[in-house]
Amino acid sequence: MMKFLISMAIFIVLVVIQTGFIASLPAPLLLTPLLLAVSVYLIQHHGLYVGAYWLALYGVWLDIFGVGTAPVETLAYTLAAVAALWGSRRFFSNRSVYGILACGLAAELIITLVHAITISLVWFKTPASAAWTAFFASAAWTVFLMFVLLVILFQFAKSIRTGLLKSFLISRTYETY
Amino acid sequence: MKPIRFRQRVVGGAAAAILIVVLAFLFRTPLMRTFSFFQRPFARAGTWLTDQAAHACGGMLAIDEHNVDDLIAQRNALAVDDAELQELRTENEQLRAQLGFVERRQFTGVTASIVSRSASLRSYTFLIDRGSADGIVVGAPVVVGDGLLVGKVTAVQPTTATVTATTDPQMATAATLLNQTRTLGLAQGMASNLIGLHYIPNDEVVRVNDLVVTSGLEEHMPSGLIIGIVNDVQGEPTDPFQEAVVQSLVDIRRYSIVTVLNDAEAL
Repeated sequence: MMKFLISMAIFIVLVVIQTGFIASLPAPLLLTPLLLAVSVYLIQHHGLYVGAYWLALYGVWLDIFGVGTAPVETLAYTLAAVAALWGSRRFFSNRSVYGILACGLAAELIITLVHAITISLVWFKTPASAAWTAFFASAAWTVFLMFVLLVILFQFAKSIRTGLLKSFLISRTYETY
Repeated sequence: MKPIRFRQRVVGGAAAAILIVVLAFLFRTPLMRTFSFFQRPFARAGTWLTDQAAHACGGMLAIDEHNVDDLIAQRNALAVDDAELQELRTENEQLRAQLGFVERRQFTGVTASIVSRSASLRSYTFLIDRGSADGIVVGAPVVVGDGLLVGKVTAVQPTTATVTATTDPQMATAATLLNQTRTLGLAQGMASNLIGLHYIPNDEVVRVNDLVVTSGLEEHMPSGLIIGIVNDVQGEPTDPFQEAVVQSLVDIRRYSIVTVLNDAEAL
């Protein structure tokens, strides 16, 4: 129960910073995917499922508050969570920074693909309204900024593990990287 | 990890997630009110940084002589328009008095803070901390300053509302071009800070720097709110229609407080 409450508190802090502060920054910094990067890092580097739940909940949050960038954000982020989990178990088992970056790229590609499909369906009659140039520019900047964040998180791996121990998200005997 | 325990964790996690989602939808209103309270200072901090960055970039850019000449010409043209406007305003007041004209529509303004925004270069929506409890309705215009339209309310909850900006590709606004013939059109967002005015008959004269305002033909939308200024006119002489690229006069990312106009008759 304590673990659940702490993970929800961290999730809320991340979401408030992501949708309140980061989304208000000038372009392209507003595209910084803080929650996605943290979630992918926890999934890939520490093998924590909580990252996947955070991703799925973030999609739900965006749909509830109506500030998503495309219809049905819940679907996009849930599939990204599944892809990140599956990839970290089957493909990106190497605990180096390259595995983490690859896992993050896979998750972001899933989100971009789902967004592209839903946008195409919604604006099927008026494709010019989809603004594809801006869409792909957003995706490219998001990938770049996510890579930067993941590299930074990787540099502080030991400190993050200490923090996870103190917040009861992992036990002392839990093996991560 | 053993397969059974793995399956149990996944099922347990999925069940918890579904429960959280259901509770979130059931208790949406108090949740949104609570999170708006915490998001507001973060949104203001981010907006402040954006505004400072815009000021810094503006200071670094040098204005050359060509720009100065353009600005002076634009100012002079606006001064002439202003003089004509003053004359028309006086004439209008006199005519209203003579006819005993009664104001049929009145609008009140509700000030709201922006608490969160979408993160995209393609679409732009933001959440404000006022909702139906404050008289806000879907379709209500959202302005800053003295009547600069930034968007329309597209979804309303009791304590919050979602606003879609005029530059969002999903948003279309009935508009009037302030040219000689007062051309009507549909202003549709084009991402970035641009709006497209499509299907303008080719025989209509459209010039760069023409103002585009709301036509008042939409429900809840008064006429005369400034949408933007014509930046470019595209089209061949042989085409039946031409298109105007309109630049919004407002960068909403530099504002943390907006005003929602409510039609007093609708309340």
